[in-house]
Amino acid sequence: MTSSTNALRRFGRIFLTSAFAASMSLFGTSCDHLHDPHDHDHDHDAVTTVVLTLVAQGSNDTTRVTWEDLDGIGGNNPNRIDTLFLRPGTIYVGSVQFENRAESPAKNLTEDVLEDANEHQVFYAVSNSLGQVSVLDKDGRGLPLGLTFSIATTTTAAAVPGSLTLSLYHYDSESSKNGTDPADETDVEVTFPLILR
Amino acid sequence: MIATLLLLSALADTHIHGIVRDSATRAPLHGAVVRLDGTKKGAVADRYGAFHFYDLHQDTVRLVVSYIGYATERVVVPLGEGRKEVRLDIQMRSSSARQQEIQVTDERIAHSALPTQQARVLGSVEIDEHRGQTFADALTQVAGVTVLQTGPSLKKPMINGLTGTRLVLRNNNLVQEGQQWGIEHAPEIDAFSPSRITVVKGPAAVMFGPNAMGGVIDVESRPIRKDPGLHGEATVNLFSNGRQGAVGAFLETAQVAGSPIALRAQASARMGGDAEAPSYVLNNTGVRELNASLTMEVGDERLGISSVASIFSTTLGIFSGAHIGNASDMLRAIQRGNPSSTRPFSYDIGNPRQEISHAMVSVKGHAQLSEDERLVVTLGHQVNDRNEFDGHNIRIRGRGDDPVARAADSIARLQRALATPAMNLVLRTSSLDASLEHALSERVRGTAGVSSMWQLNERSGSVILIPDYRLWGIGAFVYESIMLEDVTISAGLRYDVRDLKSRIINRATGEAPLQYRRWQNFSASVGALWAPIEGLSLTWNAASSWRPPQVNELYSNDVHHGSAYYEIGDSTLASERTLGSDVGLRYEAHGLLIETSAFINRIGDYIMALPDPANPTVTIRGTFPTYRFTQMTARLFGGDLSLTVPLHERLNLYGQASFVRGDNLDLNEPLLFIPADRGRIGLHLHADDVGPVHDAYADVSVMGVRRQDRVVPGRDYAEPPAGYLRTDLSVGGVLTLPFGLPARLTLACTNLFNAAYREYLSQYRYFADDLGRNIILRFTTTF
Repeated sequence: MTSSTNALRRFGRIFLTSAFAASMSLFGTSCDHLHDPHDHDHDHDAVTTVVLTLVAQGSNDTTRVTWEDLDGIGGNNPNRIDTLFLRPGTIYVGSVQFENRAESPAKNLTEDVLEDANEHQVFYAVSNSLGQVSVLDKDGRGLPLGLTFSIATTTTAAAVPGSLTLSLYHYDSESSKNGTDPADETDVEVTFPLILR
Repeated sequence: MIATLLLLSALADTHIHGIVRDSATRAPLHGAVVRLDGTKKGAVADRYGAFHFYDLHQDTVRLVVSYIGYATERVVVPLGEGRKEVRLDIQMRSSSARQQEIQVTDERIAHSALPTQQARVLGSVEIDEHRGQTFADALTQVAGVTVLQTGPSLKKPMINGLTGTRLVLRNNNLVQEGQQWGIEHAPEIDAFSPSRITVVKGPAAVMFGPNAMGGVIDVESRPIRKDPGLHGEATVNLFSNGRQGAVGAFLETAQVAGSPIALRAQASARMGGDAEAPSYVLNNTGVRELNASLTMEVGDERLGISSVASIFSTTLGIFSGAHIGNASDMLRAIQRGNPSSTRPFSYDIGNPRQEISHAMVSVKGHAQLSEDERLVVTLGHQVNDRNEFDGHNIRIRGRGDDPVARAADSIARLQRALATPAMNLVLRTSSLDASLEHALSERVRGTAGVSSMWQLNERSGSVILIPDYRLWGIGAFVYESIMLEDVTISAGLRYDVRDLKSRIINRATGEAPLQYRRWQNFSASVGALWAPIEGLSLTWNAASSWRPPQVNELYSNDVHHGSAYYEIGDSTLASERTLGSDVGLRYEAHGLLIETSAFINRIGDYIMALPDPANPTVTIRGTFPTYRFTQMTARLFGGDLSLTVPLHERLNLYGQASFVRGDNLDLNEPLLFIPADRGRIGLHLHADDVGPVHDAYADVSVMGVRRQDRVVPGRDYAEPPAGYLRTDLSVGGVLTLPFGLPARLTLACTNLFNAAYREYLSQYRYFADDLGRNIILRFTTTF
């Protein structure tokens, strides 16, 4: 029965090779280590917080609302979204502030937008016809910027709640900003619930 | 020289025809020249290796068959005595004949497919004539193979509707281990490496492990020519679209300074600028590529080592029009229909971009232990280094009170930010495989072996799509084939273990705990081939295999740029299990060739990301649709057909068509990213000599793709694009350069009519049209 001994020898060889391969991979497992994650990217300033300040014309009543997501994109959902309560038939003058509150001390990023005003624009949209927004400030080329604005609420206090959406667009270059069209890239887009009462 | 007289019959006209094939791979040798010795008559083998001679009056015909890289063959065919039709099967040996000889016997126990499976081998000339701007382009000539693409320089092959980690891509005897989990990750393979490519359309898990459930693409290094002296090849490709140029060259010798060491040194480079759609420039789609490899062979067929070391490096621009901030940006881009602003053509590559390098070493040793057994051991190491640079939020203000210092600081910070990838992944893989090819009897041959791998991924950067992880795997397999009179039966079995340890960052808490998963399971396959009459073969295969969930499916947690959705993994996913079957038919006679196949594949616990509309991801950059990886029962089925009909001595009509249907059986809805039905029809005309050009040919074809109408309405951002027709043209031939050097020249034009179309499988279809007209000049000389 030499053929069967040959077969045995044959499979003996393959077994030895397997054992070698197995020991190689087990050796691998014993010396693996996963390094601690390092993704602290301090040069990038991410906006965590948007603050709107609105002053009613005439009464000078001030309303301040905040939209905040401290742990950035992903992770937990935004930790704070205030509802904007406004009076019907009133004109408010508003300003917006962008901040990075994940760092200490918090950084005011509104100045960054102002510095590159020619490549930025803030757009506002009010749903359910609850009001109308006009941008008050201009960039270096005379196009709207949107860091200050006014909002005129409707006189009829609609029972329906709506929202105010603010979008900060970042243009590739000055030439792609024309004052009316949004950019391809949105830096900030937040929505505040809006109720007139 | 193996030439067989196969069929003799008494017909009215004397007609000699046959096919020319590579003796080792049995691949048809498209472009092989068959001359009638002593006359001016000649023919060129068509894409299926077929040639014809009609109305011959001699008593004896002498044929001279020649082909670049192969030894010239002579065949003497006695005519007369009523022999009116002669069919020849001419098998040519590569010039390195001794090396090839072993593979002839080996080929019965095929390297990358069971003998009962349908495999298509692309030889060097086929690769040469279809080489495009990426490695994957040359594969699309195979019916059933499509590409999933993110722009002209980023293409992933797809077989029968499966892609990514459901296919195995082998390069120089190693399973290529790059980052294959995303659409925007193309295989890191040099399109110029001297190789032949085998495409296996069907499960090959028994041979190559769990990820081969959808098929295999095997890129094998061509053996070094064994005849004395220094040999080589130089190739230049020029593309009008993107004003791209690519060069590749290699030098090889069978004896380095008289030693028994055979060596080949190869290098290639590519540079391209912005690609162009019919009516606008696709900004920032340039490419740079620099590759090199060194191949060494020592020994003979009984005992020897062959090793390859290679490095692939590329920089790819990501189309600026596809770079968006959030879902509203995406919808606006789709509504607009074309890129908002286009700059003039440029070779510059800005952010966003990818910088990737892939280095590998493979050492394969073989020993013929006895007449009946051969041991093959392959050791491999690969390092894949991927850097993805983001274009977002490059708005950095310097710090400091002094305005000058602040300005300097902001420039320094900006430069640092531009040079810092948003994601860097370094994947190291070591592997060791051993197999024993054996003959249990005259009719039973097979292979038994083990396969092991160990992998470590290190991630850095702010994007968390893939974690730091360590993966090891080990598998043992055996497959045998029984060759009976006109039936071959094969069967295989494999068992694999995969063990994964990952460090998962929790963004909310900032902690990064370790997570452990282990999977193990069986794969099995069985098949039969029946060749009842000459020229006809029927195949049937059935297989069941599994695939463990991949790291991205388990742990992904970030926005997918370019597709604007937030993707969340599920760490509790189970393995997929497939059960599939395919049938095939091949018939070849009198220059007619019919190849057709059909498959059905049921995948239990199929892993796919589905939208979770109730929980959109709210971020400061806007709201993103949330997609969660989930499991379902999926079913894919389809078929393809390839056909060549000889219309005339010099004219062939050819065509191919394929369709795939994919469904999520749990929700009774179609799967995402299934290729639309497509077909190609063409005419191939060949002539012997046109002026100084030998073996001239002209080929015109029209590819038609239907609209993918099997989608879930409203699921995708945009409805699938309309169907399209694309006309391609190519002419070519062989010129003799000074010193008798043969030069193969091809002039091709894809999208001849500059048609504006969009392909459903392209990620850019949301933003822009596909490539416009592309005039391609290819030149190859061998010495």
